Amino acid sequence: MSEQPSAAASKRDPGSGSDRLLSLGDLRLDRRLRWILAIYIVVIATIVGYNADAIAKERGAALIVNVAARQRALGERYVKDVYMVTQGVEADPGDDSSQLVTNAASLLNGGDVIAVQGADATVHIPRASDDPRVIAKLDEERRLINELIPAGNALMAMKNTDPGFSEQLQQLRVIGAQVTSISNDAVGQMTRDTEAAFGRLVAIGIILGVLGAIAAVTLSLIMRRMGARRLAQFRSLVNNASDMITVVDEDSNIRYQSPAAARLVGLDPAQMIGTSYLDVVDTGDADKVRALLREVADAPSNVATGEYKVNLTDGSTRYVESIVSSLITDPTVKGLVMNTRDVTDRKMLEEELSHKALHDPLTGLPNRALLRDRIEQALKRRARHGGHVAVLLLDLDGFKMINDSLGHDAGDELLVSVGNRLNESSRDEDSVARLGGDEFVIILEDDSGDPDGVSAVAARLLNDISVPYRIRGHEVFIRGSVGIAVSTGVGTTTEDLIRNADTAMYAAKGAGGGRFELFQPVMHARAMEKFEIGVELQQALVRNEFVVHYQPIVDFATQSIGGCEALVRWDHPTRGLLPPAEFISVAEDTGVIVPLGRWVLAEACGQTAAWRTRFPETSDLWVSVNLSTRQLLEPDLVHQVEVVLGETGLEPSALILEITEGSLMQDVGLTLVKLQGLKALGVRLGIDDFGTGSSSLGYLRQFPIDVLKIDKSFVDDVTTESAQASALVKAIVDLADTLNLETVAEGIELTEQLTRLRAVGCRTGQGFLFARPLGSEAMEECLGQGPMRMGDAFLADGSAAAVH
Amino acid sequence: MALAAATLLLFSACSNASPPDAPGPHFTLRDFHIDSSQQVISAGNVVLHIYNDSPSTHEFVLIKTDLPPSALPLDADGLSIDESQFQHAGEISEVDTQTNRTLTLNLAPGKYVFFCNLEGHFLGGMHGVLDVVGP
Repeated sequence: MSEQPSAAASKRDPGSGSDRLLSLGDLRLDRRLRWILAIYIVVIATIVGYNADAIAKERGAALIVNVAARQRALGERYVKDVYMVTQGVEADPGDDSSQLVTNAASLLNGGDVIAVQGADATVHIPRASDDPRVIAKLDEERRLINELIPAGNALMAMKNTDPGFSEQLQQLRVIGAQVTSISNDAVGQMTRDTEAAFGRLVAIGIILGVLGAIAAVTLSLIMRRMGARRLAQFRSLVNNASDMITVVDEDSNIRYQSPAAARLVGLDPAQMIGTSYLDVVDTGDADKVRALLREVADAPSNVATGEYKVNLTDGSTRYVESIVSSLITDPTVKGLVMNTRDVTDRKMLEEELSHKALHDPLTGLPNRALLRDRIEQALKRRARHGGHVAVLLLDLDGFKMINDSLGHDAGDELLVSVGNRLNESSRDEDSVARLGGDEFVIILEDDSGDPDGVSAVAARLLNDISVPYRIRGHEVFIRGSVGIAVSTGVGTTTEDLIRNADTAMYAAKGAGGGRFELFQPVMHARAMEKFEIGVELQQALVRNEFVVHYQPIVDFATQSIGGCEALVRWDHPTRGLLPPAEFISVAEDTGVIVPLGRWVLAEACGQTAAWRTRFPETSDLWVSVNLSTRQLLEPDLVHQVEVVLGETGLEPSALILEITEGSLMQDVGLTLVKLQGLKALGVRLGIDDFGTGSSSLGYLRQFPIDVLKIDKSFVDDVTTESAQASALVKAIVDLADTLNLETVAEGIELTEQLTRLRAVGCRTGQGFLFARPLGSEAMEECLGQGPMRMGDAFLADGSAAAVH
Repeated sequence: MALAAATLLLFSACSNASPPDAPGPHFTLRDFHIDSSQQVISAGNVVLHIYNDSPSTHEFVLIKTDLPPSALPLDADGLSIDESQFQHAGEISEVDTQTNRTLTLNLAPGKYVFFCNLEGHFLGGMHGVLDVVGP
């Protein structure tokens, strides 16, 4: 196989880098070629033009020399004719003299002359010469002619017998000889000039000819060199190219194989000649390659590109890309040219990138994007084949606490372990994905039509993940909340399923976690309502739709109001007065709780300060205000409180800020700093809903707490005869006493509760038994009643005696 | 043979060997007369400077003769001198127009005639006499 066909192949290859190299080389050579050609053409044109001009001049010069030479004969003839006339012989010296004069003038300045001696036809001649020597001679000739003719006339006027005739004749002959002499002289000079011009012509012709020959030889050498270079370039490119160049016939048989085959497919290129190219192609891709070659063979103007796998002799497989073009009609190639390169690294990278784009880097599970795709595919399959798709959304309960206590690395390890366990618990046909954070999604197809089956899977998963994990030397327990959404048929979208599962998951969490909930449409309605509330909340603050109610907190010993708890209400324009339960959680979720809490704080402090001034008997009235988790995380919380106290003038000790146990545990270190800052202001701190949190009691020593508010659930229990419930409350009160904390019992509704609470040592409390939360006016009225105003509650014998 | 060699030695002429500014008589050729800067010169080696100031080509012939130019014999055509009757002292057969030529001669004392012997030129007046005197 010669390189010739391959060179042509490369020129047809649109994507080949070698083709570009060749083109650049061609361009440079072509430019030089054009210059050489141009010079060659100019030289040739100059030679032709110069010769044509010289020939034309030569033809004119010959005629002029002829005329000049004729002057000599005319001079001699004139002398002879004059003499003949003097001897009585018929002659026409006048014609001779006329021609002599005419020719002399024409030779000097150009003009008509007799074409051929003895004929009448005239011809125009140009000025005889530009040579000043010739012109001087012709001018001298004319001068002598002008002497000759009068001398002739004078002789013809004499008779040969006249004295002086001989002298006059001699004079005429001498002038005639002079004319002849100068005519010869002029002709001689003109001839010499012509010879010199001819010599120059010959020299220039020789020079131009040599130049032309040099140009032609140079041209030939450059073209030869260009061809050789092009051939060498291509040979080098083909031999050294990382791409494998193959020429195959229409039956896929190899006719030429470049050396790169040894590296790319591990075969000796020479041994590949005559074999089928498909022999190196992976069996699964053979049809693809056949189609690729066929496409180009059928449409020779096409260039086709295809990726496929090839099998190496060592048993490994590589991905390659071939660009195929047809040179079937090129007599030097007669084949399909394949330019093949190894794209394995690129393919691997693509696959890796694709995997990364669709998988969670931590757990290796499908990510949200792939999850959505899988749900969509599952929905399409179920639409075709019937059945349902169930999406189980699992959120780990208390995962944040693991992160906070053991660190994020441990949290990540736990997420990986949970992911693995979910995978192990699922069937092969189910998909487990990580939605983000501590949320996982399991897609079930086959069982989805059976709610009991789905529920069983959810229960199994919850059970499996609750088995303790060993993380960094710690035994970690974790639970999860699962929301289940099942497709309802055509029209169910991926969005629907994920959103509904999420809603159901929150319902499961709301129900205490560690359980699953099947999505019900009412959940969605609730979620929507929550969403709308969130939107309205944003505007309610601006519209000043919130009001603060105050629930009296009674000192059991004095049976009077010691303080009150500020409780926010939303005076909704259409739904009326809404309790916190209707909007606080939404306010927490949307962040409105921060400005709302700040407003409540300012309002309560201002009101309490006003009451303390207005009612001297209650000048030690205090107010407790709830601080939300979000407020506690506000960086400038201490400053905010300080500003409010400053602006309202409320004594700091008259303010109790209530925090839930959950809030305390969000960020222990940061919270401690904040609480110490608040404590430094003189503000008192209370734990709200004490006893409902899952944290240890150790924090009671750690944080600067002043008040424990015993949760209503404990107070409710003491109504029974359960000694255990009373003992529990007593333990709390004793603990508070030990730590020098005050206790406030919440939700006291029955006298019996009051009695038992007093019996176990509790000293203050609040609840409907004394008063519901009151508007500021009602509270004022209550405060205005003076001391012992809560005494009625203490008089009753077990029946509720709410003020309002 | 010996005589010929001696003659050749005596009248050896070199039109190109002498520098243009070498001392010697100057002759200016015109149509049709010859101006001479000197009529008398010393015998011995002498350089003749000939300049053709005419448009025509001329010749310069120097012969040793006691005859005056008018008495020199003519050719049969009667238009030029019959040079065969004289011993040439020196000759430049072609002096181109507007060119300088020199003629270096070793002249013996005596009468000399110089002229252009082209047909009609001598008779037109192109001649002169040169006396070469002994030391």
